[in-house]
Amino acid sequence: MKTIKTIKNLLLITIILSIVSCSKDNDLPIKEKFDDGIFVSCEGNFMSANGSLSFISEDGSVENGIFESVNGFPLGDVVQSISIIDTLAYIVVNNSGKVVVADAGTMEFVANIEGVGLPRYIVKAGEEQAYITDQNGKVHVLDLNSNQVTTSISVGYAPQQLKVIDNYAYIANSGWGSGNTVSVIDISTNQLTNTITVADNPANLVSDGNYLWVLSGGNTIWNSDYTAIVGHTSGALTAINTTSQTIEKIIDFPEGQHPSGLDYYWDKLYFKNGGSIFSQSVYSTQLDSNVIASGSYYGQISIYDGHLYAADALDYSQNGLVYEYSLNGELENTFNVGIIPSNFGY
Amino acid sequence: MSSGIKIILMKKVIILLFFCPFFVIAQDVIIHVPEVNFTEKRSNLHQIGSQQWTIDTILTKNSYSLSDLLRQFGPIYVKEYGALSSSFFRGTTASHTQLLWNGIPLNSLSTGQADLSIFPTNIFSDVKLNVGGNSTLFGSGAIGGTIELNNTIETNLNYDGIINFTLGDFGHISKSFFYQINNNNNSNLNFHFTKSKSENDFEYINTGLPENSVEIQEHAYKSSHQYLMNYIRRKDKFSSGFNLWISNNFREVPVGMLSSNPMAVQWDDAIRTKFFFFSNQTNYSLKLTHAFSTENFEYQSNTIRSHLRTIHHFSSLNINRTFKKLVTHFGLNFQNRSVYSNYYSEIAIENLLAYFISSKYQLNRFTTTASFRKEVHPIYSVPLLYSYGHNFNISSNFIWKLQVAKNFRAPSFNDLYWLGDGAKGNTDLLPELALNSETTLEYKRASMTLFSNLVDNMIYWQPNSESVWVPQNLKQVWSRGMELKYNFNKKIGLTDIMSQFSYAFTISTINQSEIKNDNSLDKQLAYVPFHKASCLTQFDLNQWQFSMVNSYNGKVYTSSDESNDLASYFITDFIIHYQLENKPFYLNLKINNLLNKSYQVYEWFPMPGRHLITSFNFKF
Repeated sequence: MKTIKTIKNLLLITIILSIVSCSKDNDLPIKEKFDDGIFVSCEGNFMSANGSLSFISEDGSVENGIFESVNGFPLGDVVQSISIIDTLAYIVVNNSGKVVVADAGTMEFVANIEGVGLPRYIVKAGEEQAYITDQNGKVHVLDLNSNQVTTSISVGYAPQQLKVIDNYAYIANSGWGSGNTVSVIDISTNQLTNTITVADNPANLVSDGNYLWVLSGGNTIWNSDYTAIVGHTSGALTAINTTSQTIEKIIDFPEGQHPSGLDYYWDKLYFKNGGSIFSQSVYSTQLDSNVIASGSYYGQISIYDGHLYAADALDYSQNGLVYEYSLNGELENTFNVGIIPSNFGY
Repeated sequence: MSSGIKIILMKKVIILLFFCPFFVIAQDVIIHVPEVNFTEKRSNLHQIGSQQWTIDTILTKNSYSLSDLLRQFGPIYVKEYGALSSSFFRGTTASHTQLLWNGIPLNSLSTGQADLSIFPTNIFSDVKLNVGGNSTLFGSGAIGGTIELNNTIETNLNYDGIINFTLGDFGHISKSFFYQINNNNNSNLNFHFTKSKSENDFEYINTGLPENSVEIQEHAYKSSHQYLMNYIRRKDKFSSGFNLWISNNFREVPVGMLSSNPMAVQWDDAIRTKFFFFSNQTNYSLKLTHAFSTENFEYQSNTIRSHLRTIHHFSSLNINRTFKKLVTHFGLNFQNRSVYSNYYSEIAIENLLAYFISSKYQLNRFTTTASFRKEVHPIYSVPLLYSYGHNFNISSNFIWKLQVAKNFRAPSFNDLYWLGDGAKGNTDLLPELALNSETTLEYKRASMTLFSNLVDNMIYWQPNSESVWVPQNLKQVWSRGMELKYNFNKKIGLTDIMSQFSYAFTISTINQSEIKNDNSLDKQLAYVPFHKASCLTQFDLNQWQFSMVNSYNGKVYTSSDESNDLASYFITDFIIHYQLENKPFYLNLKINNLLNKSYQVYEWFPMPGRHLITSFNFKF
């Protein structure tokens, strides 16, 4: 018995040791510089290639111009957004007409993806492909292995954010205000399968695990030759059931308000409206939002690790600021980032 | 002394030798007797208390544009990108320089700025810089200074006409023709025509790409036609005449090194004319002028179409009266300005009345001037503007100058009336107000000026809480600095040597800001270099003339918080002028950027390396 016990113990020790050594060698990834934190894409000035990427680390430090400092050359003209797909960062450079691929951990340059028109956002859509929205009214299908665009799908004008849920990609067609549709693409066939009509100017999409929420900013109506504002259409939060692809709930904003920037965290939607950040429950059936913070914000808002991040472009000619708030709206940190910060990625 | 310091010193001496070779031997200088004259020209009044610089004709006749000229020589920083080029005079912004053609403002009514790249320099008799603002004489925009393009009738020319043919790198071709008819000094008519085009397809190193590959600038073709006619008729103490200038410009708008190209093209067409009548009596003179100009601007790209048409009437009456040592000057002008733009909700019309009074008093070695101006505008109110200046001749070659002036810049039509593309003008804007003071010491041909310029209510475009871009009075800027100028002439044997040196040191910072958390406070304005120096050196030997222009532009910040910058650059241009003996031919050869430097004056917009331009001229 004793021998058996000893053998058992020995076996156990061997197993434990092998597991430990195994994880040491293969399973535990080496921590890279840009692993724990949030990327901030900073547009830079239009027509001037001073767009950049900042990184706010979880330890509270911030590093600016991280792509250029690693690679020695800049990202380009209007850094619109960043998405992390697997271990790579896809940095969308709108007015350079390219998506720059870099290692997400080290920021080392990998490739330039060209032929994407004037790109805005990129999202993984399937095992080996990603979708890129192009403000010329297209979604480009990117082969993640070759970094080549394989095909392009026509959607509404000026598509903004996109979201993949199950087997479908949803694309918010803003039309720079005049659009009012969400295109639905089957990612296994890359075919447009449905178009859902929402309130004017849809630009932001989030999923609460139950619904896909679409934030429409509402349109500012100009006269026929675009020289006078004659009115406004209402913005709305629209909840889409992604199983039936039908609208289940519409929460209208008062006319003249133009909400923008949307994120979701623990049963609550967070959005920007007229110089303030609001939150409201996903269970509400009407607008009953609470102001959590106020300021002069630019671009998107993002919740990362239970904290809310919002950007301020100051005079649009200097390094901007990112404010970190608790979800109650207490200002926890202010970070000095690149010129015209507008989007976040992690 | 350690060898390190020695090397640095040696380097400095070599730089100085190269930069301005005749400084080192400049010991005896021709004595300069300051001129004191009583003419009616407003710019002459401006010279009391401040400085006027005349740019040498070897430069004005051999530059592609005003932008090219001012980049080479003088204290102004020139920012060029795409199709636009603007001036930063004494650390102020682009709309703080007033460009004048024979006294008529050329700044765009829509933006308040003048695009220096569309103005040629070879069709004018002279190009002058009035350093330092003086709105009491020149009106809105004259905060940093004014640039004058003048057509004066030269009656002592030894020829009737010139035919010029110019060829240069990057597909530059220009033809020009000048002819004048002189009738016993009683009347003079001259005519100038220039036609030029350039592919502008130079090579550059694209430092924004991973491979730093050599690229060719694309979509940068430009062409221009200029027709200019000047007429003057004199009889007894009266003279009258007109100036007419028709200008057609077409440009493809190039983009920066890393930007996708929307293939924009731009047309700038203008007709400008001025009629004048001048009566010059013993104790008084009277000048009546009416100027009319119309501009047509169109911009088209893949996504944007913009069309602008302006009509500008400018009438003025100026009376000068002389009482012994006192000269008084009274001016009244009326402007009717209308702008059509597809971005304004209706045709914007402004009527503007301005009157000013100025007096100049001379007592022995002391000349003083004081001026007041009032502008009446329907939308914003302009406070009483004033200026005071004096020149004090301490000794025959030592002058002390002083000037204090309150200047302004009116909101532009775009600032007030724009509507569209997510932006909206603001009719509640206040004019920008500036308090300028400066003092100059002139010793023989050297001068040193110290200046300070406080500009309040600076207009910036910012998005409001609904993300609509709106102009607002947001910041206060204080620019101050020093300017040095030195002229040198000497004859050594048969060689005439001339050298002109200028240096400007400028600190221009944001003093106050309405923006919360603004990090631009106390920081240097973007695109204002601390240092700019230039030197023109010329040798005349028989039929040959060799000129070298060196310009140094110090580092500039490209963001308002000093977080990004552009490196300094030093550019040398070389000009050879050769006059055939006893023949009416002369040749010019200009080597631009002799040392083939790679540089940028605006972030990520390339500039050409070494390139040549040759011109053949025939006088008859």
